[in-house]
Amino acid sequence: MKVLTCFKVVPDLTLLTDEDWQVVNNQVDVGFVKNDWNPFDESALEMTLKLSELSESLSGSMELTAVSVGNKKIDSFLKTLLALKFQHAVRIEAEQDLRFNPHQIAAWLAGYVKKSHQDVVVMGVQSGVGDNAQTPLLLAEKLGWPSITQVIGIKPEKNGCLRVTSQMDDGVLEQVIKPPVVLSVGNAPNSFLRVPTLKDKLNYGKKSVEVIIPTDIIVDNTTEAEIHAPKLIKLSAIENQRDSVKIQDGTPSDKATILFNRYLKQRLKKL
Amino acid sequence: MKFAIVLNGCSQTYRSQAEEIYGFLKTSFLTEGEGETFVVCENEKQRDEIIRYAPTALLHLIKMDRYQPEAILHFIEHYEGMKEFRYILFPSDFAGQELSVRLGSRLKGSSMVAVEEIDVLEDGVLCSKLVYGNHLRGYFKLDFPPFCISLQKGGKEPCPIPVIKNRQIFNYEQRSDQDSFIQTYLFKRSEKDEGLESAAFVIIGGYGLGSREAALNLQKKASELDAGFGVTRPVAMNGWMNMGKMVGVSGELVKPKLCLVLGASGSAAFMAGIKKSEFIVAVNQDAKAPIMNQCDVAVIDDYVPVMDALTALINTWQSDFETKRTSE
Repeated sequence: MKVLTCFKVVPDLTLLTDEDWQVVNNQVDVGFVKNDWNPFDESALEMTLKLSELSESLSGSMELTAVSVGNKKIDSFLKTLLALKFQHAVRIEAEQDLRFNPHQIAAWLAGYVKKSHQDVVVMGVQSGVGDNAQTPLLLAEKLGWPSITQVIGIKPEKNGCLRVTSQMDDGVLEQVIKPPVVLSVGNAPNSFLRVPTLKDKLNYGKKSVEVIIPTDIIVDNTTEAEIHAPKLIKLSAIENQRDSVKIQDGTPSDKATILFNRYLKQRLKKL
Repeated sequence: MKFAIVLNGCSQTYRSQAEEIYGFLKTSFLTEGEGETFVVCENEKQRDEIIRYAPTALLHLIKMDRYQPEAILHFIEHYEGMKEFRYILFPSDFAGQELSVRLGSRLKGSSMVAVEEIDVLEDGVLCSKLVYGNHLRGYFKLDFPPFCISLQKGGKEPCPIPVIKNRQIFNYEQRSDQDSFIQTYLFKRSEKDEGLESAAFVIIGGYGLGSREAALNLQKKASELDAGFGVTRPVAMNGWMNMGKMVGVSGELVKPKLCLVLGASGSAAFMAGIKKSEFIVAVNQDAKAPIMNQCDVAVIDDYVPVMDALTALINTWQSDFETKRTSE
């Protein structure tokens, strides 16, 4: 079974101070903060590795490919995935502003899926900075495949099937399904991506990242993808500040007393 | 301007979906009389509730074996009157998100997820939504109808649906032929923790708790103080507490009179989950954590000794309060 896991590298927005949120030409400069795995995609990558491990004893090994869209700055992340024993690490070369264009990304991913004959696609449900939450769904539509969202667990089954657990609003759904399928990963606990060993970094991390030019894989109509993408008109700041009285002097007990007497007692009385 | 609403009647959250949409309609330029509601339902038992709380007088009831997006999409896509709708609205839940985007793609329209507000434009629609991890608001123009829009969770206040007379109901049955990729299907319903959403006093623990044991201790303290208990995403993702306790944009949205947040830095996604609280107190060692400027009172210290002292003060005050009341 060929499994493609799509991920995005995102800036860690929690590192930005209030003063950093300056909108200039409908952009915020996030170039100086460190990048990290998109959390939902990180879960998708770890779930793929676990799935592959489990499948070895049941139905044979899986062929794992990790793919992302961007410039060579993301190659270090792809190298990490090679060290974690993804057989292929693929970067779809792109320099343009794709923040709010899940249609374009889905079109390229669909092209790659078709070209490389994948059986299963796994990816996070949403990613920053666009927070579009559309890419896996649009990809499923472009491929004509079914899709399961809010996935929190994937296990191998016999006969090339998968046991997929997903979180619904009022319960948990467990389905055994026959691929092809697009799985969109939601809030899956204990799914942080493992760290490669030094030995694996040396053995596998030196493999090359495969770089693909979009024109080599596009099968969908790019113009259509461009047209249907929403057009960003403007970005504006959100005001979240409150009065924020600081209690910082004295022992913890002193602080608790000030907090209780000045701010909580009257409020607790009214509850 | 004709519009449609699509709701998942197979879910126990049906009524809240309907009231969320109704609250949105009340603040938008769309008028109820021009709307039609499509509801998927599993059995006859749900029928009365579905009809009572449908947000429009005209209702299409689609009976299916279960909630299955492929089958629902197939039905709606091929419904002959679909081209008449300029807007198709979906609630903020997982079903609303997945159906809106996929239907938009199939109908060659435009879609957007987690929309706060819409405004009509001459040649399209203007949608606003939160972007950059809830730090900024983006305004987007969608060009191609039908505009398939799912709402932002907690974006508008839900509005109770009045009794609607003269309902027009159309019934359909849809076989799940599109389900053939599913070999087995097992749904386990879980009881929702209603206490957290409706609690007047909520205590929330962040990653600064440091361990599952600390999270359990704090949960116990919250229970002793009659407070609802929640956690931030990192706590839930580490498995220190179950996902049902997660507060934030992808978990529960709380609006208590008093919200006490311990050991949380205050990511924008988390703050979106508590922003409707009347009074927010944060306790954190890091004076520069974002939450320290987004709360009403910030206590700069380790949460453990502060919480111990605070619990003792509240307990003493409560017992004095009870004694005074008894003697009166």
